[in-house]
Amino acid sequence: VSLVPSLVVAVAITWLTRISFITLLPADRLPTSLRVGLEAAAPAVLGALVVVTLLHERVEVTWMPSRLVPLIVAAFLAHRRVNLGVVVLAAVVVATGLRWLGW
Amino acid sequence: MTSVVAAGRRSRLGRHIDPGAIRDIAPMGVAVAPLGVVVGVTVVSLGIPRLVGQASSPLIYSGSAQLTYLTLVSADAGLMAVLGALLLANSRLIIYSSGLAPYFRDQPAWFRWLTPTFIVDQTYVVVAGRDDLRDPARFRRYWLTAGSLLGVIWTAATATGMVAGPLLQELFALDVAAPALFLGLLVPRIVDRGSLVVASLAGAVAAATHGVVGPLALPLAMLSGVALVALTNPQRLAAGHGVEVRS
Repeated sequence: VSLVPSLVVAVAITWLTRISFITLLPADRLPTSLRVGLEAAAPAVLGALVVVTLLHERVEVTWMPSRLVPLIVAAFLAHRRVNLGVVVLAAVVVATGLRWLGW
Repeated sequence: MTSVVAAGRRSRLGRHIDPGAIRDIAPMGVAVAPLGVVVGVTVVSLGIPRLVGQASSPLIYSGSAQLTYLTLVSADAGLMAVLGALLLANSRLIIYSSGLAPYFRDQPAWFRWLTPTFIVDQTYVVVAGRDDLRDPARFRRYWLTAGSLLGVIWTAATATGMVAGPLLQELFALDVAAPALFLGLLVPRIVDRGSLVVASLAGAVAAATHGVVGPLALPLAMLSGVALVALTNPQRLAAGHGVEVRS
Protein backbone atom coordinates (compact mmCIF):
# COMPACT_ATOMS: atom_id res chain seq x y z
CA VAL A 1 0.00 0.00 0.00
CA SER A 2 1.38 3.40 -0.93
CA LEU A 3 2.19 5.94 1.72
CA VAL A 4 -0.08 8.87 0.96
CA PRO A 5 -3.41 7.00 0.46
CA SER A 6 -2.75 4.97 3.59
CA LEU A 7 -1.97 8.16 5.53
CA VAL A 8 -5.26 9.66 4.32
CA VAL A 9 -7.09 6.51 5.48
CA ALA A 10 -5.31 6.62 8.83
CA VAL A 11 -6.22 10.26 9.38
CA ALA A 12 -9.84 9.69 8.31
CA ILE A 13 -10.35 6.64 10.55
CA THR A 14 -8.81 8.36 13.54
CA TRP A 15 -10.95 11.47 13.00
CA LEU A 16 -14.17 9.47 12.54
CA THR A 17 -13.64 7.54 15.79
CA ARG A 18 -13.11 10.84 17.58
CA ILE A 19 -16.26 12.52 16.33
CA SER A 20 -18.36 9.34 16.64
CA PHE A 21 -20.25 10.21 19.84
CA ILE A 22 -19.87 13.98 19.53
CA THR A 23 -21.08 14.81 16.04
CA LEU A 24 -22.28 11.62 14.34
CA LEU A 25 -24.31 10.03 17.16
CA PRO A 26 -24.53 12.45 20.10
CA ALA A 27 -23.96 10.61 23.36
CA ASP A 28 -27.14 12.01 24.95
CA ARG A 29 -29.10 9.56 22.79
CA LEU A 30 -27.47 6.60 24.54
CA PRO A 31 -29.15 4.79 27.48
CA THR A 32 -28.56 6.63 30.76
CA SER A 33 -26.70 3.79 32.50
CA LEU A 34 -24.32 3.38 29.56
CA ARG A 35 -23.78 7.15 29.29
CA VAL A 36 -23.02 7.55 32.99
CA GLY A 37 -20.85 4.45 32.85
CA LEU A 38 -18.84 5.91 29.99
CA GLU A 39 -18.50 9.26 31.74
CA ALA A 40 -17.21 7.47 34.83
CA ALA A 41 -14.71 5.45 32.88
CA ALA A 42 -11.57 7.40 33.87
CA PRO A 43 -10.35 4.91 36.53
CA ALA A 44 -10.87 2.02 34.10
CA VAL A 45 -9.12 3.87 31.29
CA LEU A 46 -6.17 4.84 33.49
CA GLY A 47 -5.88 1.39 35.10
CA ALA A 48 -5.71 -0.20 31.66
CA LEU A 49 -3.25 2.39 30.35
CA VAL A 50 -0.87 1.86 33.29
CA VAL A 51 -0.72 -1.88 32.65
CA VAL A 52 -0.48 -1.71 28.87
CA THR A 53 2.28 0.92 28.88
CA LEU A 54 4.09 -1.07 31.57
CA LEU A 55 3.94 -4.26 29.55
CA HIS A 56 4.61 -2.65 26.20
CA GLU A 57 7.29 -4.73 24.45
CA ARG A 58 8.96 -5.54 27.78
CA VAL A 59 6.93 -8.35 29.32
CA GLU A 60 9.99 -10.22 30.55
CA VAL A 61 11.50 -7.30 32.53
CA THR A 62 8.32 -5.84 33.96
CA TRP A 63 9.15 -6.64 37.56
CA MET A 64 12.80 -5.62 37.46
CA PRO A 65 13.62 -2.96 40.09
CA SER A 66 14.43 -0.43 37.38
CA ARG A 67 10.75 -0.48 36.36
CA LEU A 68 8.94 -1.35 39.57
CA VAL A 69 10.73 0.96 42.03
CA PRO A 70 10.21 4.13 39.93
CA LEU A 71 6.50 3.36 39.72
CA ILE A 72 6.27 2.90 43.50
CA VAL A 73 7.95 6.31 43.85
CA ALA A 74 5.51 7.77 41.30
CA ALA A 75 2.49 6.32 43.13
CA PHE A 76 3.75 7.65 46.47
CA LEU A 77 4.31 11.15 45.10
CA ALA A 78 0.94 11.12 43.34
CA HIS A 79 -0.72 10.07 46.58
CA ARG A 80 0.93 13.07 48.26
CA ARG A 81 -0.57 15.26 45.50
CA VAL A 82 2.79 16.32 44.12
CA ASN A 83 2.85 18.09 40.73
CA LEU A 84 2.34 15.57 37.93
CA GLY A 85 5.43 16.71 36.02
CA VAL A 86 7.53 16.12 39.12
CA VAL A 87 5.98 12.66 39.48
CA VAL A 88 7.01 11.70 35.94
CA LEU A 89 10.48 13.25 36.18
CA ALA A 90 11.14 11.56 39.53
CA ALA A 91 10.21 8.19 38.03
CA VAL A 92 12.52 8.72 35.05
CA VAL A 93 15.41 9.90 37.27
CA VAL A 94 15.04 6.94 39.65
CA ALA A 95 14.77 4.46 36.75
CA THR A 96 17.82 5.98 35.04
CA GLY A 97 19.81 5.85 38.28
CA LEU A 98 18.88 2.23 38.93
CA ARG A 99 19.78 1.30 35.38
CA TRP A 100 23.17 2.97 35.69
CA LEU A 101 23.70 0.93 38.85
CA GLY A 102 23.02 -2.17 36.82
CA TRP A 103 19.69 -3.14 38.43
CA MET B 1 3.78 52.52 17.22
CA THR B 2 5.09 49.11 16.23
CA SER B 3 5.33 48.04 19.86
CA VAL B 4 1.73 49.19 20.52
CA VAL B 5 0.50 47.09 17.59
CA ALA B 6 2.57 44.13 18.77
CA ALA B 7 1.22 44.50 22.30
CA GLY B 8 -2.32 44.60 20.92
CA ARG B 9 -1.71 41.42 18.96
CA ARG B 10 -0.25 39.72 22.03
CA SER B 11 -3.26 40.82 24.03
CA ARG B 12 -5.72 39.43 21.45
CA LEU B 13 -3.74 36.17 21.37
CA GLY B 14 -3.68 36.12 25.16
CA ARG B 15 -7.48 36.12 25.26
CA HIS B 16 -7.49 32.83 23.36
CA ILE B 17 -4.95 31.10 25.57
CA ASP B 18 -5.96 29.39 28.79
CA PRO B 19 -3.16 29.42 31.40
CA GLY B 20 -4.89 26.61 33.31
CA ALA B 21 -4.72 24.40 30.23
CA ILE B 22 -1.01 25.10 29.91
CA ARG B 23 -0.46 24.18 33.57
CA ASP B 24 -2.47 20.96 33.15
CA ILE B 25 -1.05 19.79 29.84
CA ALA B 26 2.63 20.74 30.33
CA PRO B 27 3.32 17.74 32.63
CA MET B 28 1.59 15.56 30.03
CA GLY B 29 3.95 16.99 27.45
CA VAL B 30 6.93 16.03 29.61
CA ALA B 31 5.56 12.51 29.81
CA VAL B 32 4.56 12.03 26.18
CA ALA B 33 7.77 13.54 24.77
CA PRO B 34 9.71 10.29 25.33
CA LEU B 35 6.97 8.42 23.47
CA GLY B 36 7.25 10.93 20.65
CA VAL B 37 10.98 10.32 20.56
CA VAL B 38 10.30 6.59 20.31
CA VAL B 39 7.94 7.20 17.36
CA GLY B 40 10.65 9.30 15.70
CA VAL B 41 13.20 6.53 16.20
CA THR B 42 10.69 4.05 14.76
CA VAL B 43 10.21 6.15 11.62
CA VAL B 44 13.94 6.04 10.95
CA SER B 45 14.38 2.38 11.88
CA LEU B 46 11.48 1.28 9.64
CA GLY B 47 12.91 3.18 6.69
CA ILE B 48 9.84 5.38 6.24
CA PRO B 49 10.43 8.73 4.50
CA ARG B 50 10.95 11.33 7.23
CA LEU B 51 8.50 13.76 5.63
CA VAL B 52 5.67 11.19 5.83
CA GLY B 53 6.69 10.18 9.34
CA GLN B 54 6.76 13.78 10.49
CA ALA B 55 3.48 14.68 8.77
CA SER B 56 1.75 11.75 10.46
CA SER B 57 2.41 13.27 13.92
CA PRO B 58 0.06 16.29 13.75
CA LEU B 59 -2.30 14.64 11.24
CA ILE B 60 -2.99 11.40 13.14
CA TYR B 61 -2.35 12.98 16.56
CA SER B 62 -2.30 9.66 18.39
CA GLY B 63 0.83 7.73 19.31
CA SER B 64 -0.69 4.26 19.18
CA ALA B 65 -2.49 4.89 15.88
CA GLN B 66 0.64 6.47 14.43
CA LEU B 67 2.83 3.53 15.45
CA THR B 68 0.23 1.11 14.05
CA TYR B 69 0.14 3.01 10.76
CA LEU B 70 3.93 3.25 10.46
CA THR B 71 4.45 -0.42 11.30
CA LEU B 72 1.84 -1.67 8.83
CA VAL B 73 2.96 0.62 6.03
CA SER B 74 6.57 -0.46 6.47
CA ALA B 75 5.42 -4.10 6.41
CA ASP B 76 3.63 -3.38 3.12
CA ALA B 77 0.26 -4.43 4.57
CA GLY B 78 -2.87 -3.88 2.48
CA LEU B 79 -5.16 -0.88 2.83
CA MET B 80 -7.87 -2.99 4.52
CA ALA B 81 -5.33 -4.29 7.07
CA VAL B 82 -4.34 -0.70 7.84
CA LEU B 83 -7.99 0.25 8.18
CA GLY B 84 -8.88 -2.68 10.46
CA ALA B 85 -5.82 -2.31 12.68
CA LEU B 86 -6.44 1.40 13.08
CA LEU B 87 -10.06 0.79 14.06
CA LEU B 88 -8.81 -1.52 16.81
CA ALA B 89 -6.03 0.84 17.89
CA ASN B 90 -8.49 3.75 18.00
CA SER B 91 -11.40 2.01 19.66
CA ARG B 92 -10.67 3.68 22.99
CA LEU B 93 -11.12 7.05 21.27
CA ILE B 94 -14.79 6.13 20.90
CA ILE B 95 -15.02 5.79 24.68
CA TYR B 96 -13.28 9.13 25.11
CA SER B 97 -15.56 10.70 22.51
CA SER B 98 -18.60 9.61 24.49
CA GLY B 99 -17.12 10.75 27.79
CA LEU B 100 -16.31 14.21 26.42
CA ALA B 101 -19.56 14.65 24.47
CA PRO B 102 -21.24 16.80 27.16
CA TYR B 103 -18.50 19.42 26.79
CA PHE B 104 -19.08 19.62 23.03
CA ARG B 105 -22.89 19.64 23.15
CA ASP B 106 -23.36 23.44 23.15
CA GLN B 107 -20.39 24.29 20.96
CA PRO B 108 -20.55 25.73 17.41
CA ALA B 109 -20.52 23.28 14.50
CA TRP B 110 -16.92 24.03 13.45
CA PHE B 111 -15.75 23.17 16.93
CA ARG B 112 -17.73 19.92 17.09
CA TRP B 113 -16.48 18.76 13.66
CA LEU B 114 -12.84 19.82 13.80
CA THR B 115 -11.52 19.91 17.33
CA PRO B 116 -12.33 16.35 18.47
CA THR B 117 -9.06 15.80 16.57
CA PHE B 118 -7.39 16.71 19.86
CA ILE B 119 -8.96 13.75 21.70
CA VAL B 120 -6.18 11.55 23.07
CA ASP B 121 -5.43 9.89 26.41
CA GLN B 122 -3.88 13.03 27.86
CA THR B 123 -6.54 15.56 26.83
CA TYR B 124 -9.29 13.17 27.91
CA VAL B 125 -7.93 12.69 31.41
CA VAL B 126 -7.38 16.40 32.07
CA VAL B 127 -10.96 17.22 31.07
CA ALA B 128 -13.16 14.23 31.99
CA GLY B 129 -15.39 14.85 34.98
CA ARG B 130 -14.44 18.50 35.47
CA ASP B 131 -17.34 20.81 36.25
CA ASP B 132 -15.30 24.01 35.89
CA LEU B 133 -15.12 23.43 32.13
CA ARG B 134 -18.88 23.18 31.54
CA ASP B 135 -19.07 26.78 30.28
CA PRO B 136 -18.81 26.52 26.46
CA ALA B 137 -16.51 29.53 25.96
CA ARG B 138 -14.19 28.45 28.79
CA PHE B 139 -14.06 24.90 27.43
CA ARG B 140 -13.30 26.14 23.90
CA ARG B 141 -10.36 28.20 25.14
CA TYR B 142 -9.11 25.39 27.37
CA TRP B 143 -9.47 22.66 24.72
CA LEU B 144 -7.80 24.63 21.92
CA THR B 145 -4.90 25.64 24.17
CA ALA B 146 -4.35 22.15 25.57
CA GLY B 147 -4.73 20.38 22.22
CA SER B 148 -2.47 22.79 20.34
CA LEU B 149 0.25 22.72 22.97
CA LEU B 150 0.25 18.94 23.16
CA GLY B 151 0.35 18.75 19.35
CA VAL B 152 3.37 21.05 19.19
CA ILE B 153 5.19 19.05 21.87
CA TRP B 154 4.35 15.74 20.18
CA THR B 155 5.46 16.92 16.75
CA ALA B 156 8.70 18.37 18.15
CA ALA B 157 9.38 15.15 20.07
CA THR B 158 9.00 12.95 16.98
CA ALA B 159 11.32 15.29 15.06
CA THR B 160 13.84 15.01 17.90
CA GLY B 161 13.48 11.23 17.84
CA MET B 162 14.36 11.12 14.17
CA VAL B 163 17.55 13.08 14.86
CA ALA B 164 18.77 12.14 18.34
CA GLY B 165 16.51 9.35 19.55
CA PRO B 166 18.97 6.49 19.87
CA LEU B 167 21.36 8.58 22.01
CA LEU B 168 18.56 9.83 24.35
CA GLN B 169 17.18 6.32 24.83
CA GLU B 170 20.61 5.09 25.78
CA LEU B 171 21.17 7.84 28.33
CA PHE B 172 17.78 7.94 30.08
CA ALA B 173 15.17 5.36 31.11
CA LEU B 174 12.47 7.07 29.06
CA ASP B 175 10.28 3.96 28.86
CA VAL B 176 9.08 4.46 32.43
CA ALA B 177 7.61 7.91 31.69
CA ALA B 178 4.30 6.73 30.24
CA PRO B 179 3.28 4.27 33.01
CA ALA B 180 4.42 6.84 35.61
CA LEU B 181 2.23 9.48 33.97
CA PHE B 182 -0.88 7.31 33.96
CA LEU B 183 -0.19 6.07 37.49
CA GLY B 184 0.19 9.68 38.62
CA LEU B 185 -3.22 10.43 37.15
CA LEU B 186 -4.85 7.26 38.45
CA VAL B 187 -3.83 7.40 42.12
CA PRO B 188 -5.75 10.62 43.00
CA ARG B 189 -8.84 9.20 41.26
CA ILE B 190 -8.98 6.16 43.54
CA VAL B 191 -11.41 7.82 45.91
CA ASP B 192 -13.44 4.84 47.11
CA ARG B 193 -13.73 1.07 46.86
CA GLY B 194 -15.76 1.35 43.65
CA SER B 195 -13.11 3.28 41.73
CA LEU B 196 -10.42 0.90 43.07
CA VAL B 197 -12.39 -2.13 41.85
CA VAL B 198 -12.99 -0.58 38.42
CA ALA B 199 -9.31 0.38 37.96
CA SER B 200 -8.10 -3.01 39.24
CA LEU B 201 -10.47 -4.92 36.97
CA ALA B 202 -9.37 -2.93 33.92
CA GLY B 203 -5.70 -3.42 34.83
CA ALA B 204 -6.17 -7.15 35.38
CA VAL B 205 -8.00 -7.58 32.07
CA ALA B 206 -5.26 -5.63 30.29
CA ALA B 207 -2.55 -7.80 31.87
CA ALA B 208 -4.40 -11.02 31.07
CA THR B 209 -5.19 -10.19 27.46
CA HIS B 210 -2.16 -8.14 26.44
CA GLY B 211 -0.14 -11.07 25.20
CA VAL B 212 -3.14 -12.74 23.56
CA VAL B 213 -5.11 -10.12 21.65
CA GLY B 214 -2.46 -7.42 21.16
CA PRO B 215 -3.98 -4.02 20.40
CA LEU B 216 -7.44 -5.23 21.49
CA ALA B 217 -6.27 -5.50 25.11
CA LEU B 218 -6.64 -1.81 25.85
CA PRO B 219 -10.23 -1.35 24.62
CA LEU B 220 -11.22 -4.72 26.14
CA ALA B 221 -9.87 -3.66 29.52
CA MET B 222 -11.53 -0.25 29.35
CA LEU B 223 -14.84 -1.76 28.30
CA SER B 224 -14.74 -4.24 31.17
CA GLY B 225 -14.38 -1.32 33.60
CA VAL B 226 -17.08 0.71 31.87
CA ALA B 227 -19.42 -2.30 31.87
CA LEU B 228 -18.87 -2.80 35.59
CA VAL B 229 -19.75 0.85 36.25
CA ALA B 230 -22.81 0.74 34.00
CA LEU B 231 -24.12 -2.52 35.48
CA THR B 232 -23.55 -1.76 39.15
CA ASN B 233 -23.81 1.69 40.67
CA PRO B 234 -22.96 4.33 38.11
CA GLN B 235 -24.07 7.37 40.13
CA ARG B 236 -21.82 6.52 43.06
CA LEU B 237 -18.82 5.88 40.86
CA ALA B 238 -19.54 8.91 38.72
CA ALA B 239 -19.47 11.05 41.84
CA GLY B 240 -16.05 9.73 42.74
CA HIS B 241 -14.79 10.18 39.21
CA GLY B 242 -14.55 13.94 39.07
CA VAL B 243 -11.19 14.51 40.72
CA GLU B 244 -9.43 17.50 39.29
CA VAL B 245 -5.97 17.04 37.80
CA ARG B 246 -3.37 18.99 39.73
CA SER B 247 -0.58 20.88 38.09
